[in-house]
Amino acid sequence: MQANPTKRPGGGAGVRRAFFQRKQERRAGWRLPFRARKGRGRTGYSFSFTPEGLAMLAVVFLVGFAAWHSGTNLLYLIFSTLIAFYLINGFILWNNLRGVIVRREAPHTVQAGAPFHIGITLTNSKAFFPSTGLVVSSIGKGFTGGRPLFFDRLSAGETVALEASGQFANRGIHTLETLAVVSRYPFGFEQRGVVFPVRNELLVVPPTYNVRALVSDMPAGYGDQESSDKGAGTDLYGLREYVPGEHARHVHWKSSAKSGKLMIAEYHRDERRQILVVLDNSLQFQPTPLLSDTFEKAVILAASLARHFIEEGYEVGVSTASGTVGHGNGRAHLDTILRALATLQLTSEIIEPVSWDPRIPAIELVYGKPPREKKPGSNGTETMDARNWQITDGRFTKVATP
Amino acid sequence: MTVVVAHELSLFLVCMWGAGCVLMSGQFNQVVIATCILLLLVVYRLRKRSYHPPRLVANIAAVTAFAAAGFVAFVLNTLLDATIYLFLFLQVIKYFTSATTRELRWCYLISLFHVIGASVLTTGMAFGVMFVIYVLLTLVSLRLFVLRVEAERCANTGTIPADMPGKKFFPFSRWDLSTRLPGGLLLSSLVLTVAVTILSGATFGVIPRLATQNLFQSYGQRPDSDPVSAFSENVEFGAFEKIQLDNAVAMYVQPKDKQRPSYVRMRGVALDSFDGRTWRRTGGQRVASGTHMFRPFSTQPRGELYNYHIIQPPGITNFLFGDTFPTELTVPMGFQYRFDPLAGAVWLTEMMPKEFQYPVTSRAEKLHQRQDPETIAGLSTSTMLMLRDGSGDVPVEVAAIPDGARAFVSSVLRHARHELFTENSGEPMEEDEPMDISSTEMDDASTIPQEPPDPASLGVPHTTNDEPMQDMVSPSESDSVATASERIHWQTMRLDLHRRRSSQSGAAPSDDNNDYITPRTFFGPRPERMNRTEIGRRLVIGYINRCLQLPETLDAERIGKLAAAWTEDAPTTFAKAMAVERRFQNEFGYSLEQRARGNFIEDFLFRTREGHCEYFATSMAVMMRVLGIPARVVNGYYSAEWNQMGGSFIVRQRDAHSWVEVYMGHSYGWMTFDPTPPAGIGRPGTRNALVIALGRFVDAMRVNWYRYVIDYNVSDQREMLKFLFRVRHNINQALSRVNLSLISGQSKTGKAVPADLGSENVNGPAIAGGALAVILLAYLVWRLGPGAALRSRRKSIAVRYYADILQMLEKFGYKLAPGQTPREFARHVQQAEPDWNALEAVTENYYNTRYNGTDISAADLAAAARLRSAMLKKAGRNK
Repeated sequence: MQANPTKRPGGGAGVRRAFFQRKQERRAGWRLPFRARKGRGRTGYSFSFTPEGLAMLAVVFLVGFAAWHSGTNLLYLIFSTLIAFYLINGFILWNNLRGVIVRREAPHTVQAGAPFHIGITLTNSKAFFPSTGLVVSSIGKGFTGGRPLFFDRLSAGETVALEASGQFANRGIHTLETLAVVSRYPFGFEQRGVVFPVRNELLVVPPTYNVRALVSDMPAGYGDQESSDKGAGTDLYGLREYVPGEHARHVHWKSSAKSGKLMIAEYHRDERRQILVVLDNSLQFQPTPLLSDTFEKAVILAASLARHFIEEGYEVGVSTASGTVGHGNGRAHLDTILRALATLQLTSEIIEPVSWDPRIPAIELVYGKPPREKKPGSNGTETMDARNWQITDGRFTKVATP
Repeated sequence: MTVVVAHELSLFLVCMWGAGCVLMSGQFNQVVIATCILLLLVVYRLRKRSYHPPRLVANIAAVTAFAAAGFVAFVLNTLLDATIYLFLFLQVIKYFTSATTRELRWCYLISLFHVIGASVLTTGMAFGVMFVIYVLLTLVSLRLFVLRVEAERCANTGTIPADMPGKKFFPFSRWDLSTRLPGGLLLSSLVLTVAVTILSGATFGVIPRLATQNLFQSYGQRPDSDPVSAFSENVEFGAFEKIQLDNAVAMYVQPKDKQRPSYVRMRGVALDSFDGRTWRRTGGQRVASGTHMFRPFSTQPRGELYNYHIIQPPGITNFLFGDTFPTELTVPMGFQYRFDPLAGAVWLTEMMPKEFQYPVTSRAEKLHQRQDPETIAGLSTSTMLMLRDGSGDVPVEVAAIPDGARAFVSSVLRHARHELFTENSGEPMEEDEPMDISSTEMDDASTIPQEPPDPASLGVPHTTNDEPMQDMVSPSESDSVATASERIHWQTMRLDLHRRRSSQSGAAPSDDNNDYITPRTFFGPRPERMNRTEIGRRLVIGYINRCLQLPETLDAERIGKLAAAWTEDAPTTFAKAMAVERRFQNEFGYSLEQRARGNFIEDFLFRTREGHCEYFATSMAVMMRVLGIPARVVNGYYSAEWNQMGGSFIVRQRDAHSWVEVYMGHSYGWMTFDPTPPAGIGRPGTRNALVIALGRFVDAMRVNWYRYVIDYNVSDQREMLKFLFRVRHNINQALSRVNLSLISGQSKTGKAVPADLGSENVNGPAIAGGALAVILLAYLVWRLGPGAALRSRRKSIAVRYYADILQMLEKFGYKLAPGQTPREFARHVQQAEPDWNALEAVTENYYNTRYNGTDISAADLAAAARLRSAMLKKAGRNK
């Protein structure tokens, strides 16, 4: 995602600031302004001495004092050289970060707890000078496991991309707001950094695990449902009189011969394997931490069941108090369910409990919430208590009861 | 070479170079330092094999180093030595035991301490060279160090995950520890070294010099051996034979004026007493500091005035020099010097372990400009400084005494008072206020007898010390010239008296202050009733008399006859001296071999007739003395070796020279005579041209090092500021002239431009030409320089992006068909994929870059990157 500053630096509207703003706007990417003020603009600019730099600073003062005290010109020479080192270090350091355009390329959807990669692209837009020794120190808040990225050298005009590997522990919508680039090059006396306002939004869906242990407890053929609708199945549904325009292929010739008029054969739709995962997230009170934890497990369980049944060929739907995902199958439908579950939260704003069609086989997941009054017609529902199941080695296993 | 290997090697060199700087200072035990360097080498080899010692070993080594340093500091009482040794061993220990890369930072710090320590202990140019190399090594090594440390703490040093969506589209350039050394690192480090040098030079120049104390300058070992020089107070005959074979630099003489002489005759010390084997300076001495004003025996300024900056390397001599004759010499603050006003000699109280620099102003008396004082207009009796003759009734016209003579008499009187009335005459004494001899004391001053000095009456040692000295009337008249036979007679009589006194007292005539003849030894016990002017008078006359002294072993009569024969046609003192000088130059030969035997002078004069400058100078001095003309030998240097690069005369040991100063009377003073044949003066070296050129380059570097680094001071800063202001002024003037010139010869006020515009330092056309040249150069740099490469690189970036996007489109099933133009292809793709609306813009950029040669902007570049990013996301989703 490309950073796109939309907000002008506020206050003052000085000529210099306006100049830099125009300069930024001329460029598509975010470019380090000449002087970025921390806390005022959209970018933060950090400076600190490294321990090595502090030690060298002490030596500089020591040598300067000795030179001043003794009048020894060679000490003055060393003192001057150390100052020159510092000045050149500062210039190169400033020049390293100047004109650097950063981009972060991340997938829209990732799974919580599963490692994924984020591409970090740095472009050196300077005309002449290279940028050396850049470190992308902070990929984004909440992004764990990613160590800093090191860009050894960007020649003038060069673009280099590296990838950071990490993961998000929790599902939900995660927004990566900033990208921090620091440098200590060339001598390591100081560290300068710039926080670039590069925004990326990632949807972290709940992880899925093997649920065979759960479904094995369910009755055989659970979810298999004979359809009462007409369709393109093989079982005869009924006969009716031909309507002009209908295809001759559907004419039931035997009955037509018997009755003396053209009859059309209609068939039942083939057997449907449907299942509905029900997860009631409505509360009438504020959730306790324990309840929140078991709810998270229930969400993961719901996602895992959805994945399992979709892979088994079922049409899976999810019903929650916040909304319902209709029945469907396929990878895309699974993604839809996972995205819906990614943002599902316990909420006390919904008064009405979840309800569903009693004719459809359903699995209701409970997680310790006080039971609410069930609507009539929900008697054929299987109930699974998330508290009885634990995640071990990538699969749900039953909690051993004492 | 990989980055890690390069860093290890550069770090080793930095450590070794720091120790090398300490070794170069020459102040420490070389075995210890060499051992440390050897240990560093061993550790470097071990580190290459990734060997790290146990922590216990490191701790034991560190404790041992501290204990040893403590022992050295406590027992040997040398804290600096102990500190340096400690840091040397800590360097080795730290280098050996650093388990992580970051720990190696201490090695840099310790090596910096080594360099700082060396800077305190040495001033040689070798340190400057080593320091520049140290800076270069440190620049390379620190950059590698930072790269290595940063890379080690970052993620992308491992393997690349294979399941990154769209990974293949990224131009991955992973960096790991086996990455090869960037090719431009050394070159850029060289550029950085130049930048550091320029910047530190500028900083060095502007840092105010506000030294308060000599914290470190007093440190340093004195040379173990005696100075390898013929410049001391006692010079044994034959000393020049050794040093004239020595090619070492004795001093650098840097003229400070635009005009410079063609050669320099650096006058060191005048020696007045000769015993047949050794020349001695027998005058008294005083201790002083600051600027020394010479008070020569001169009433007339002779020669042109030159200002020099002298740089004397250590270990040569503690005498200070000036082109003949020096008039003013400034000894740097913090140093004391001794001086002998009669001999015109100045020397430091102790031999300095470092180089010594001082400015000196001289009246360069050139031999071809000499003139007989008798013929110099204005040197009449009325303007002479007249020492009262024996009768005491020759008056002096007070107002007519020239300033130079007054100053000299004043100086001598102060000297005499110091010698006679100060109990502790060897201690430093504050410089007195100059005595005003033109007023109240002039009567006393006027009692100084007129020349010629009477050798028989003035310089003859007394028979008893208690006997008050009586001026003896010269047998000659009051004119300044005596006949040769009369002077030989006086000399013989003086010798007789001297022998008689020696036999009566049984001791040397001057034993009160070793070999020196001081007023106390000269006059005996403190002369209570003698006024100061009388003392000064007698001191001067006594010194001049000592310049008539002859060795007892010399056959004065034989030499006198020879001298008389040589000078029989010479009516004046000057003519006699010239005649003798010419005889030596024309009839004698130069040789560094010591062929004379027995009595060197007589053998030289009557048998070998070949020798070096000592023979010639001594012989001439003796002959003049035999003739009754005061003369003394001067030791110094004669050099015509001009180093254009350094802007200085290089005076080497082999340029050591000896010549004669002849006393021309009180009205003139001493005049220089050089009897050595020209072949023996300023002899060139025997090295080839390349060696000479290289040597001169090194000498020039050394001069500038001493002059502008070691001796850079507040006055130099002031001069630099003046120079900058002058440059600015000149530029402003030049610009205003250019401005005027451009208006067709009319000034802004309508007046015609003066004809002499541009006749000064900078003229308008030159400025305009320079500006055009700069513009042309800038254009060429823009066309051919790094910018051109950059533009071509940007082109390649645009093309590369387009090629990447084409590859990605192929993944989606869009392929550029044969005969299809990129624009058609872009329209076709965009119809199918409306989200990729940037494709047409990217295609246009490709066209422009590829075929129009226009530069791609950063915005276009970013747009292309965005398009690629969007395609990547779609690729990821599809997967």
